[in-house]
Amino acid sequence: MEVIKTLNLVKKFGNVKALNGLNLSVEEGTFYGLLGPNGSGKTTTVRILSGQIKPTSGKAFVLGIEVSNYIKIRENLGFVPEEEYPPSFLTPEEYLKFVCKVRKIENWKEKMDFWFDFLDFSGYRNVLVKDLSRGTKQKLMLAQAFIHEPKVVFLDEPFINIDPIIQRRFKKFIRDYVKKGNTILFCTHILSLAREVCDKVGIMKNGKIVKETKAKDCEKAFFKVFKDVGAH
Amino acid sequence: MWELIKLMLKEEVRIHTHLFPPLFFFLLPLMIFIFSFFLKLMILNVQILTTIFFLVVFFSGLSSGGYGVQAREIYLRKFPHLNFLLYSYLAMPIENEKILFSLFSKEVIFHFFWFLLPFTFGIFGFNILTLIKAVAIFLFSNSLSFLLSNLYNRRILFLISLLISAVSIFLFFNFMIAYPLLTLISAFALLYASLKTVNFEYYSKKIHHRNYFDALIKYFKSPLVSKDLIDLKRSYGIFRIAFSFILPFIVTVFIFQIFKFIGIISISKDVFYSLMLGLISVSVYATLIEFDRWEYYAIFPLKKSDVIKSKLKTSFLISLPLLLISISLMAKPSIENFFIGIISMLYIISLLVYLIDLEVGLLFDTRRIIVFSLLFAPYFLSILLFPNILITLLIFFLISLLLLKFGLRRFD
Repeated sequence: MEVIKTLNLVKKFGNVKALNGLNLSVEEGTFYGLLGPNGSGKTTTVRILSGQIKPTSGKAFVLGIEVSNYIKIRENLGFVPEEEYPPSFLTPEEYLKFVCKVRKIENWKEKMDFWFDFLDFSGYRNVLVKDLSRGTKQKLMLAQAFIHEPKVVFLDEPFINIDPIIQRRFKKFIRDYVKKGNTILFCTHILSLAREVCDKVGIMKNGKIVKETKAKDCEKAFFKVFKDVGAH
Repeated sequence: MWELIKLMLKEEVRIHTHLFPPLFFFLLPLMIFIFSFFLKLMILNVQILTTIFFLVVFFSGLSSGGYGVQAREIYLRKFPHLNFLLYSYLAMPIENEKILFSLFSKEVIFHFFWFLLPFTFGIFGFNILTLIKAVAIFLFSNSLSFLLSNLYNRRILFLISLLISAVSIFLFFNFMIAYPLLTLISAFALLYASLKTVNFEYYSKKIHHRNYFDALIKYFKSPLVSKDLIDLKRSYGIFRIAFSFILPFIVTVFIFQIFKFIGIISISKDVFYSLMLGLISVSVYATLIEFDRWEYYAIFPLKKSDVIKSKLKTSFLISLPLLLISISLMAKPSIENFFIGIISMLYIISLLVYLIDLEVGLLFDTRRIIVFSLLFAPYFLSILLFPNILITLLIFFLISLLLLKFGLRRFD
């Protein structure tokens, strides 16, 4: 089953074409990496797929649901945006409870405890978000994305500011998560990370996918696509 | 330092042109000119007109100065992914005082061209002396506000300073208009004190916080309302609301006296105050949306209308008791006055829901200001002039419900 599908997706911001006819297809149970340099359209793609912004033209579906019906999609979606942290004046504990209430999660206490322990930030449960380090804020974002065990997860540069111990632990977790039949769309420009965790990657250039390949070949494919970059 | 001021000015213009269409932003001075010209035609008594003029200048300086430093919170909430020159102090080899002085200069230059010049010329024509007086008063109130906001940030002597400032202004306001040079000297003294008291270290004294969410969700059932109430408490939003309630009310009392004096108002004081209290209560809603970001919620199965509805609930939860207490403290509290207050609040909030979504900054877009004024004026004039207030209230109550219905649908 195709969990993510886009058909000739175009997004314009004024005169700038962020997406230029993007065609993407991700099967269920796949760890799919969206690679590309800054400004290639990765973040715009996940923002459209999560219903945060509307496409200028083309169609996009997640779990077979068109993105215009974004509430239905978000019920089964976990999302770690690239540049978003939780509200400043809540504590991590309050924020995760807020998330559980909004998502109507029943056994929220066990789940919260699991994430505080797993990402090793129990000591910051009652500290205001604004006083947390960037890494701890990012841990909180990871916890909110997975706490409801969604079928699909979008991770936009999720490892930024995370310490190496937690990075290793979390990489294993997301690999196992996909093995259970869930799907992850992973946006990054760190090729070694994509090679390590993804099954398949799509390389984006100027708002569309120009090459799809197995993750183990992603570095070679990437530099082939961008062979002229940095040449001068 | 001039380079920094120029960059800050560019940044200011870009923030505004990013928030709404550039043409409307650049037309703002023209609009202020037209508005002040009509004000001159409306108020024929020169003495009253002059007092109103200098009071408006004074309050605009006060608000822009306070915004300068307090804005950090708002900017970080609204644009966490953007870096502003003022807040990049750690990365730049420039002293904090120089950064603050540049910010001050930027505010003055910006307000001079966008506000003081058209406002003065609209009322007094090409009158350089009045312009100099206006600049002096603006500088004074701007520096005072800078100083007070620094003291507030340091949580020292704030109330005493506020009290001294209020009494001094009350006593010396006419003196300030008559002697612009002395006002300028006082402004620079205040600015010097601001530069010496500025505190760029923002940290919380209290590290661990009690969990309020559990208690609030039990009581209010809504996670969004509970979140807002915690946010307001911890970010001192409650003080801000109290301040934005008291200060405009003092101005209202003053305006009523002027209206009464020039005879353009025939309604009772209580009706007028109820109307104004209702309008002032809108500041609660404005604060709630100003302190929040839609992006926080855009990753959850929530629509914009869900968030707006929760803001409505929270704002009514806070403003209704404030409104009811204020009205019951009047000389002759009546049911009619309660309704005037509540419907005034409801009508303006529904206008805001319809016009600006969750972005309070959009209200400064000229096009939206015009639509807002066109929709607000009939209400204001109907209450003041139409003899049957209850019919007016019923009509505008129904209009409010319609505006809310369409407004909530509009942004989903």
